[in-house]
Amino acid sequence: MIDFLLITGPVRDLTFAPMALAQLKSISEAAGFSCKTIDYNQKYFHHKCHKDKNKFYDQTKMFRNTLPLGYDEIANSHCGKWLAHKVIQDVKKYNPKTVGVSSFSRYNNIACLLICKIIKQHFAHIKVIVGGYGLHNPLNYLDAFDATLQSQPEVGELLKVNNLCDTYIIGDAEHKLVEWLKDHTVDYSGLNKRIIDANWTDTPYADFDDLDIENYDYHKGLILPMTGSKGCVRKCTFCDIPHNFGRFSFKSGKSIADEVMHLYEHYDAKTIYFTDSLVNGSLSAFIDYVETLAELKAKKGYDDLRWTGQYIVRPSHQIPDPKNYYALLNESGAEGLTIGIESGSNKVLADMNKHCTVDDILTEINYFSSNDVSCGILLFPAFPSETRQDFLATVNMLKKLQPYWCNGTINLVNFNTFYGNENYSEWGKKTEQDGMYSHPNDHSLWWYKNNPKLDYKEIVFRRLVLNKLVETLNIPTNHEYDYMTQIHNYFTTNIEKVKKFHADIKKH
Amino acid sequence: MLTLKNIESEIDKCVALADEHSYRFEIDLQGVSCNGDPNTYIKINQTTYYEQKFNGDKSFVIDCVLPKNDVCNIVIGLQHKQTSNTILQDNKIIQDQFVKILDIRINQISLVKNNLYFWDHSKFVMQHSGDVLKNRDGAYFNGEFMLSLETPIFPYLSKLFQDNIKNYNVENKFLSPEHRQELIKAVYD
Repeated sequence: MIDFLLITGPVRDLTFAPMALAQLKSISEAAGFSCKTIDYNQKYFHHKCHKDKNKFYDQTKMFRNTLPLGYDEIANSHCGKWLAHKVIQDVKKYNPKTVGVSSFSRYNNIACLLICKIIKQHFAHIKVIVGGYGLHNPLNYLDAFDATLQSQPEVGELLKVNNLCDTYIIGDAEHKLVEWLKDHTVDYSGLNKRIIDANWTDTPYADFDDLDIENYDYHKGLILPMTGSKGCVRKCTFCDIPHNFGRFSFKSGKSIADEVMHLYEHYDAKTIYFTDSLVNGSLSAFIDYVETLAELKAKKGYDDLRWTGQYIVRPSHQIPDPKNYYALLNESGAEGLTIGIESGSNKVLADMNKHCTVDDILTEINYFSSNDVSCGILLFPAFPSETRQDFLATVNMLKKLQPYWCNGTINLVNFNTFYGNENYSEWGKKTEQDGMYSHPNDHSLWWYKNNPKLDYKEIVFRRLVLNKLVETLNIPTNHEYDYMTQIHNYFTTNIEKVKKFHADIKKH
Repeated sequence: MLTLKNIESEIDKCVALADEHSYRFEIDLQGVSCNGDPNTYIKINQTTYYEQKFNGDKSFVIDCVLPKNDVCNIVIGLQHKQTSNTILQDNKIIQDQFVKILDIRINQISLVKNNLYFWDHSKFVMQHSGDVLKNRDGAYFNGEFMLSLETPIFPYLSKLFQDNIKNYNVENKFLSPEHRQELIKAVYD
C-alpha cells in the first residue's frame, strides 16, 4: 500500500513530463508519504499512438471539451476505455490511501472528471483530491455531457458538489497538499478561491523517477521542466495569471542555476523548460541567473545544456547593457524563448496593457538575431478591440519579421485565436454594460459593441488569412493543424448556436 | 461583407500585403591586390550596380525591387585579371589578385553565417572556359561568382532553412481541402 497515487490524463503537452507530478512527489515524500506518479497522457501517446502526434490528437480530441459530446461517448472511445482500464489496474496495483488528479488546463478537465468518476465508482473508500488551474474553467456543453450533474461555474466545484472528489486545490499546493495528506480534513476548495503560498520556493527538487521521461515528444535531447517563478509582472487584460498567482514571486538567480545543473547532471536533461509565466519578470534575478549559469556551463564544459521558457519584451530602454545582456543570454544556453507578441498593432498592444510597442518587439528580435538567441513567438488575431486595420498591422509586422525565420532567430510562430475571455482576466469581467456580450456557457462566443464588425465571420476570416500566410511565407509553426482543426470542429459542430447568438444580439 | 463567393479573394488580398518585394543587399568583399587592384563588378540579375577597382574590405549596398515568382541572381565578377596579377614561385602562388566574399546580407540576414545557404546555391563560372567550380568563396579567376535564389526571397529561404535543419520542430500541416471547405461553408454560407 502507498500513501498517495498522483496521476493525470489527456490532453496535455507531450514535450516533457508534468512538473506538478514530479514536484508534488518530492514534497510528499520529503514529508514522509510514499507517492507514485503516473502520466496517462504520455502513456497513451507512447503505448497506444506509438508517438504519432496526429493520431494522438485525433483520438483525444473528444477530451478537449470543445465538442458537445456525452459522457458515455467519451468513456466508450478508444482512449476513454483504455484510461478506465489503466486507472483501475493501477489503483489495484498500488492500493493507495489517497489519489490526486492533476488538471493542468481546460483540455485536461474531461479526463480529470473521468478518472475521478472511475475511482469513486470502483474504489469508494479512497479519498480523492484534485488540483490544477484547469479546474477554474467551466465545463462546456454540460447538458450534452451529463445532464444529471449539478452545474457549477468551475470544474473544481462541479467535481466536489457531485461527489466526484473529496476536495480540490487551485493554486500553490506545495505545502497545502502535505497538510491534507496528514488527515484529509483540511479543505482549501471554494469557488473563485486561489491558494497563494509565499513559501512555495522552499521545496525540494522535483522527482521525475516514476515518469517515463525518455518517451515524451522531444526533439533535441531530453527536456525537463522546472519552476523559477510564479505570477507575472504584467497585467495583460486578456490574461488571468495575475488573478491565479497573486504577486510575482521568484527563486534567487543562483538557486535557479543550481537546479538547472541538477537536472542536467542527475537526469541528463539537455534542455530545461521553465514553467514560469515569464522568466525575466525580475530583471535583476534573471541577470543573476544567466550570469551564474553561463559561468557554471563554461567552467564545467556543459556546452549542450540549453534552457527555454516564456519571456516578455520590455521597452528597449529597460535593458541595462544590451551588448552584454544578449551575449550572456546566448552563453547561458537560452534557446527558443517563447514571447507573447500577440499583435502588430500598437493600439491593440496598448489595449492589452502589454507595456511594449511593435518597435520594442522588432528591436528585441534584432538583438536576438545578432546574438544567436532563438525565440518562438505567439500571436492571436481577433482581440475584442482589434479592427481590420489593426489586424492588417499584424500582417505588416509579419512581413517585417520574415527574415528572422530564415536565419533561425524565430524558430516558431504560433497563431492561436482569441477564444474568449478568461473568466478572471480584465476582459473576462466585462459585462453588457461595458459593451461585451458573452454566451454564459461558451467562452468562444462573444461580441463587443465597440468593435461591431468583429463578428464570427470576421474572426474566422482573420484566422484563415494567417493560415494562408503560414503557407505562402513558409512560416515555421507546429500547432497550425491542431488550431485549425479545433476551429473546424467548433464551427462545423456549433454553427447554429453561433448564428443564433449573433442574431439574438442584433435583436437585442 | 464576407460571403461564400468573395471569401477566398478577400483572404488573398490580405495575404498579398505581406509580400516583400524590396530588398537591401549588403555585400562585404575583400579585394586583394597584386600588381594592381582587382577589377570587380556586382550585378543583380541583368543590372550592374558596381564596377570598380578596389583594395581592402569594402561593403557594397544595393537596394532593389524584385518581382514575385522570378529569380534573383547575385553576380560578383572579376575581370581583366592578367597573368602578371599572380606571382608564382616553384609553381606555388605566393601572391595573387582576387576578391573574397566576406558576407552577403539580405535585409540584414546573413547568407554566409552558419553556411546555411551560401555554399549549396552558389557556383563560379570561369570566363574563358565556362567551367563551373563549386564551393568557392570568391572570385580568384576572371569569371563570375553566382548565387541564385527564387523570389520572393524570404519564403524561399525559409523553406531551405526548414528543410536543412535536422530535427527542426516544425510541422506545417494544413487542414485537408475538404475540411477547409467545410469550415468556410459552415461560416459563410
